[in-house]
Amino acid sequence: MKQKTTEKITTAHLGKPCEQLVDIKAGDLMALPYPYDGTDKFSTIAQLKEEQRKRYEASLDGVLAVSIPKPASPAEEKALVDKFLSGLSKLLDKNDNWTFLQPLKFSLDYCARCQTCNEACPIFISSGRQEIYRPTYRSEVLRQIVDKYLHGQSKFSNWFLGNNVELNWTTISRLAELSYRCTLCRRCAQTCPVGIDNGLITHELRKLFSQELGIAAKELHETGTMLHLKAGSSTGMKPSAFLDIKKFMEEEIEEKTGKKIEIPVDKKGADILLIHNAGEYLSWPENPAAFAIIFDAAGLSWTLSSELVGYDGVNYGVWYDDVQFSRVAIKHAQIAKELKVNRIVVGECGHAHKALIVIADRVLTGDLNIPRESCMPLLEEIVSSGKLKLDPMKNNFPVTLHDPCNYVRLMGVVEPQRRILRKIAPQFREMTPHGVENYCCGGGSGFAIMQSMNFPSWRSVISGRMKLKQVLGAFQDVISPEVKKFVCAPCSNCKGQFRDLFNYYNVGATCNIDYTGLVDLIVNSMVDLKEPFLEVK
Amino acid sequence: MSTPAVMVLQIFIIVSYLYIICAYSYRLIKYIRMPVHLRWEIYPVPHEGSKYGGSYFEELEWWKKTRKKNTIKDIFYIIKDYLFFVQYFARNRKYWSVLYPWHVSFYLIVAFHVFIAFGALGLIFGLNVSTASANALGQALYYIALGTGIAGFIIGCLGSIGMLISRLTDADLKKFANPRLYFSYVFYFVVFLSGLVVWIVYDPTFADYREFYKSVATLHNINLTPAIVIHSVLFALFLVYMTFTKASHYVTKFVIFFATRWNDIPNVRGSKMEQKIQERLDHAVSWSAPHIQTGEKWSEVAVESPFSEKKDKEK
Repeated sequence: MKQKTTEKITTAHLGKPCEQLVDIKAGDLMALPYPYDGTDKFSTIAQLKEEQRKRYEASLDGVLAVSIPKPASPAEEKALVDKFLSGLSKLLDKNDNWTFLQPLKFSLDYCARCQTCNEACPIFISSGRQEIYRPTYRSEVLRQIVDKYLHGQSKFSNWFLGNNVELNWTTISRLAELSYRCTLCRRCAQTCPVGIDNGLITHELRKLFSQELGIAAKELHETGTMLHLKAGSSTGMKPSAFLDIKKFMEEEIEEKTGKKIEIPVDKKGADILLIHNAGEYLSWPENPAAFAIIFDAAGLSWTLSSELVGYDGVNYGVWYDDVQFSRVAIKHAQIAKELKVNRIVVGECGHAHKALIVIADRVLTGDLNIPRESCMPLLEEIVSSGKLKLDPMKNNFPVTLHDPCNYVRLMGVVEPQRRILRKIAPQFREMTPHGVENYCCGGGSGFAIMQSMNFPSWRSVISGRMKLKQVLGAFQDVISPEVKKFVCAPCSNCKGQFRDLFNYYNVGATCNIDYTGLVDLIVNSMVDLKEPFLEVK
Repeated sequence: MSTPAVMVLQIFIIVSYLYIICAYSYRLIKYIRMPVHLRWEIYPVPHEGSKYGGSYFEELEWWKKTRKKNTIKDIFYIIKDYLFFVQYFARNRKYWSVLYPWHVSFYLIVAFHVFIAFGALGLIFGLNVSTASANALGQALYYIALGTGIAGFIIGCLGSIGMLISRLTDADLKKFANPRLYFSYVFYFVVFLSGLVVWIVYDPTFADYREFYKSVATLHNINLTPAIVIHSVLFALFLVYMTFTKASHYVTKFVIFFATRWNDIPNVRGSKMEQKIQERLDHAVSWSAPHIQTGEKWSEVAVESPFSEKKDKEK
């Protein structure tokens, strides 16, 4: 039987088998502004096929991100429970989990249950406050499991402390799915007056599942980090394909700009190793091409790498697995070391910024600790230096800026990209809120690349809803499709999310809103360009 | 010398105060001594001094620049938050209106006992602690203890009731409440009420309470009214009980803000930080998923291919 009202759901319900714990209806969702107000047209999450329901555990919310097959026997159920518990004790061990033990322990021990963080969560709010998406819900479940099953409290203590979660196959399989209903944007953590980080608890849950049980979203692990380490890129792109694309980009640049540029690859002793998200080469090659145009015009000494892993700056490990994360980060550093570059510059990819520049800082030691920085201050320096001749009127259309969580809230790179936009985009306007208080695009923590089952539908209807609201809000005065508008999204994964989100809501035809990168706008404003770099219709 | 019953009470008070100091110190040390962790900061970070939440990563070739770290801003932020609950005020005003006075009453009841203790010390050294004292210190100790006591007891009673009502009436708060929380509100209410009764009925200037503290310090006998015994025992239990609740976040919050939320210390080659990381990398890993070589060191696992044969050196 389906649970009818989400208000009645408590932590205890997570372990109680039923057909579906939460059934999200279109009418529950947060309202959108004009022209999406008053319609439920885009508010229905696609239903799973009957065969998918039968095969996989989808009883949380009828959505599949991890897709755990249903157990074949009670022994299989028990094995999952035992393994989960062994993983949980490793999560709280200073050797196995030195990487996050201190903040995890604190977040488990000291939540004051004030629920202040709920209002900060775009998924909770967008979904019409579905209980299971509350940032505190999954944390509280894990807290209770630790208390009840690891600390072994007495019956009275469990009652006194409200530990009412039962640890069984249903709880664990739903918890695995639930760990993929949060984008790890950490807005909740930013809001918490005490310092609790529910985003971290989600991250640690994913890690437990991956590092102990071998359970993770397929797109993050199997066709993510594993493919990245094996084939060289999570896109599956091999070095030869990368070199073909490089050649294609050079031809495109010449055709579009009249400039004959040779994109440097594997240039030993270059000042900069530029690392892009490889998704750019396949989906938006104009972005790395724009970097090449700018760096060439600025006269920088730089190179790309054609080494396995070196031409793909993504590091999906950052979202679910510390071991895989370290492997990719170390590979990036080794490649930079072999090329003898002075520094690594990360292109327009949010999580690659956070992974390689910030988090890997405490993994890379000795000569692997090569200076690493964001492309944003470098681009600002180039734009401000006058090395490029720019005409802002070439970008005379409304532009708003999306702040990728990974390098804005979680890295403090806030203003360089704004200072650039103020120089090159006369109709630049901010979203509300913006900067370090931005909302996630809805594709964070790997969601943007997770395309299986009905997860993309959930992503568009629920996790991207708040961002769509913000974008529409920023353009309300020019919302008519007669005016072309751009969301500047200087992050590859965010762009992927905008692509899917805008397609789902038909935003292009309805409002004439498109998305682009920052370098694309810079190049579009270059005076000596033969034809516009961006299509503005 | 004290009678056995009074002595038991005096020792209980001393032990409970010592206990809370030890328990909080233990918690604090436990957290501080946890291994170094990966960077996980959230901006804004006050010591960066940026109004919009920017960091040193906004500077080109940041590693070549001298870091401008203003720790005073961190400390100012923390003190402001401890004193006024600024974050709650900004983000959860309704809850703040009950939570803040309730917490202020904690500050006040602790301050009251501290000033009573100082007053008792004054008495031991011959200081007259009263309105009639010729010494300004004696008058100050008298008035501050009186003020903090009365205000603390009244606000504490109201705050405890307010918190209880909030938890019972706010659907979100109620959902995450447990019997311990309700017990705490009622218990705290009783503690504050017992102080209020002492003041209203038995000891309007807290002179007897000060005398009792003097006796605790000197272990001398004293005649006590039951109300003072009850309040002093409840207050001692209150301190001990706090260490078993999440209230220790008062102390540990300080650590987590500095160690995680604002910890943007870069790892520099040859630094202490690098040494700490290296120590962690030398420990063996026991994770057992197929892509991890169980039993090998972190530093080995992190460079090994996920496709290499699993050696299973499990401990």
